[in-house]
Amino acid sequence: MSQVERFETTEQYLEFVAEEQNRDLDLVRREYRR
Amino acid sequence: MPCPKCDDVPFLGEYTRDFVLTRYHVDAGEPSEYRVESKIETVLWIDGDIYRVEPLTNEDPDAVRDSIDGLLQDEDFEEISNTLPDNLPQAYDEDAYLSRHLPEALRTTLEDIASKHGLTPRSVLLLGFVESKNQVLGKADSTLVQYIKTRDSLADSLDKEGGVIPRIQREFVAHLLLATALIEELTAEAVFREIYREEHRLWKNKRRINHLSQQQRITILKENGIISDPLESKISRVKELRDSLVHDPRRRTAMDGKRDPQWIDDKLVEIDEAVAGILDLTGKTAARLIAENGPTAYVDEKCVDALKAARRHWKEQHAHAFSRVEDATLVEVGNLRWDIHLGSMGNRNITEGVDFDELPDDEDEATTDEILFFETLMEFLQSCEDFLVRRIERDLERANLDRQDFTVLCLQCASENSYEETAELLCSTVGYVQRKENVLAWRSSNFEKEELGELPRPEEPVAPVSRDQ
Repeated sequence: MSQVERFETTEQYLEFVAEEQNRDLDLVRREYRR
Repeated sequence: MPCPKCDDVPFLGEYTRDFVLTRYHVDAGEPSEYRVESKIETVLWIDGDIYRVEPLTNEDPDAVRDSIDGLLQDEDFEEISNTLPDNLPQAYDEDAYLSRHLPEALRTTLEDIASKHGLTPRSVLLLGFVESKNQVLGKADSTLVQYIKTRDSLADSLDKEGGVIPRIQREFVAHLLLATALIEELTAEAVFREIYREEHRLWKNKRRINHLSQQQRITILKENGIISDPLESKISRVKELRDSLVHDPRRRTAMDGKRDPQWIDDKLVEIDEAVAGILDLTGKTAARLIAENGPTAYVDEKCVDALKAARRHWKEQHAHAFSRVEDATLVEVGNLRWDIHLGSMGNRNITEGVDFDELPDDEDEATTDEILFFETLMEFLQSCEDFLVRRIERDLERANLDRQDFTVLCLQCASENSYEETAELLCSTVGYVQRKENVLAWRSSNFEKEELGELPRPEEPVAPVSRDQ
């Protein structure tokens, strides 16, 4: 079954990714903005 | 993009005429967009939100783009999006809410086309939902944008030519035809939404309403107290003008040399008022009505969100200009409050967040830096208003109530609005507002209650319609 997550802001999405992948939020932010 | 600084809308500015439709209405007419992004993983951007759809996250973004392009050409997809709603209430699971609108036969089709295009059924539903929102007339329909373009072009020609030359006459008649078509379709939508509500989805009802004449539709709206007398008169006058110019070629010819620019100017404004009124009545301008007339606490909360979003955007996109505001000691960006005036390119009246004592009273005494600061601040506030609209639009989409019901609820939650004032804002009647108020509280979900607090109810129930009526 597919999962859908909706994020109103990029920041919310990045926080989700950091938490799900157990990564540092700043690193995820940097990767996103690179 | 909800930011006037990023926009390229050359045909809109400050008008010398009393046009009602502004830049805000063009924004409301912009289609919802979606795109595929793959900075960390593959996600869908839909209407400014990020959707993370598993298992698309691991797909090659180009392959997903190709799949979506293929899907958009698919007739079965069109059929699915035609049956989907244009809102996603928070009270429901979004997948269940969307799929419940699909007839049984289309559920199998959904599975089939998702598999055919390498997408998930949920992503197909989401994309169908965007298409469905884009089909709502006056939201993304190009007619509204086209209408404003022809209006502005006519006004511009009148100013340049200084008289009513034959080209202007032809353009005026074309503009009038466009306006009447827009009004007629919106009137049909008002009947769909207010009288038939959910049943308008039934094919026989769609056919029935589409076969009614414009006068019959107006009569239904009038008999049910949905349309106000002033709006009905404005719409009728536009229709009479259209009929007089289109049905009788001799009278059309009679425009030659006998109509002065002022006559066309007045008619342009009258037509504009009729179109604006029917847009208000059909919930198209809901976000504007709420932002400008909604309950203070609710609008304040949305302003805080809008300020945050605008600040983020300006820091990323207009950093140099924004530093003039951000670095100024006399302004507290997070506390800014002002009289909201959506769509206007003019200055805003700031009520909080700026220490005006530090600025000279007279513009002539201001330094170049001070003038630049003030101009940038005004641009920033215009940008905030665009984010504010987007924020309220999001609530309109999440509410359990439809757009117009949510608007009535918001307007009635503002203690300063009487029944008469709410009715006037909606171009409707007091009876309409009262009938809605009788049922809105129990139709509201927790979302409405959390957003708006205590919902209004008549202290002493008022009979909305007397027996005589």
